[in-house]
Amino acid sequence: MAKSCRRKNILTVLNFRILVPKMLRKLLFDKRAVSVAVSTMIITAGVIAMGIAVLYWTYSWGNMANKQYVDNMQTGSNAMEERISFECISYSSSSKNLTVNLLNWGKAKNTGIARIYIWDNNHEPVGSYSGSDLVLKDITTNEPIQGNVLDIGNEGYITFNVGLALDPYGNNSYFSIRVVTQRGRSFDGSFVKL
Amino acid sequence: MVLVVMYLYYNVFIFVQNQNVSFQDVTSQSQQLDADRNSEHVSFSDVVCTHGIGNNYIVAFTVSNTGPIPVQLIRIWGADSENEYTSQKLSIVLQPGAKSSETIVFNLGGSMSDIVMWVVTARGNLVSTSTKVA
Repeated sequence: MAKSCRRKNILTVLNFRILVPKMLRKLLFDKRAVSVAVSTMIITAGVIAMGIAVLYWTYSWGNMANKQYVDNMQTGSNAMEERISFECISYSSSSKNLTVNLLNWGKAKNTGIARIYIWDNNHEPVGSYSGSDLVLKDITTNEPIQGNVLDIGNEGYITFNVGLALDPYGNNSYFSIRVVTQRGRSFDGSFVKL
Repeated sequence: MVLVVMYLYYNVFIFVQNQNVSFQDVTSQSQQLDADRNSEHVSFSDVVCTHGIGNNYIVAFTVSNTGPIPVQLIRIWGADSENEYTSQKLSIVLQPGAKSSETIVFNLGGSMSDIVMWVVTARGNLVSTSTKVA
């Protein structure tokens, strides 16, 4: 009984050693498909997966390009519709403050002032002012305008100190002023030092 | 495949076309803004300024729209000979050919012989006049 059992075990081990390499060899080196249907399904699935990946990639790029294009168009359009008018420009010799009253009469919302340039009568630069110098205030309430921008139809004024820039010039001197908006448009005006 | 390519091309074409139409609209509106502004014509008449109590100056005037389009006056400014400025908000809409008589009280420091004032239209035009203080 024990002898027959040992023989059976030896046969099983032999069978395993012979069969497994044979199956592996068949799986690895046999070029024939397991089945035509299965191989077609695998290839189709691969192609579909690749197609979805490429589609998603192109869609993402298209979406980004679309957004950038629309943003650029919108910025350009808003800049084109910006209009600023000078209501009154006054200079105080005692405080050296220049007050520029502005009106946004265009169709662009949220028009901010980025920089102000001043030239003299000979078009020599007198000064340029930007940043924290330029705080828009409400003409009626004298309070700073929220966001430091002028909405459509709104009025505001900016008072900034020009220091000694206008001192060398006598009374009745003529100056040109240019207001540059944050969208890059510029509007020219003039004033006389009284 | 051809249909897919045509579909994609059509979508891009329509998108670009829409953007071009929008841009054209903005350009037209922008040009119209300038054209309207240049068409505005407002004139002052019957301007009388009298010295009121204290630093108050009472200015009576008639403003006329002599242009072809309606005009809205949004603010009036006054300045004295001492370079002092003051302004008041207005809300006057004048149809073409219409007139409006107004009386404004300016608070300007000191005594003066002349007053300069100007109105601002909603399209950013300034129309000025000056008169002697009676």
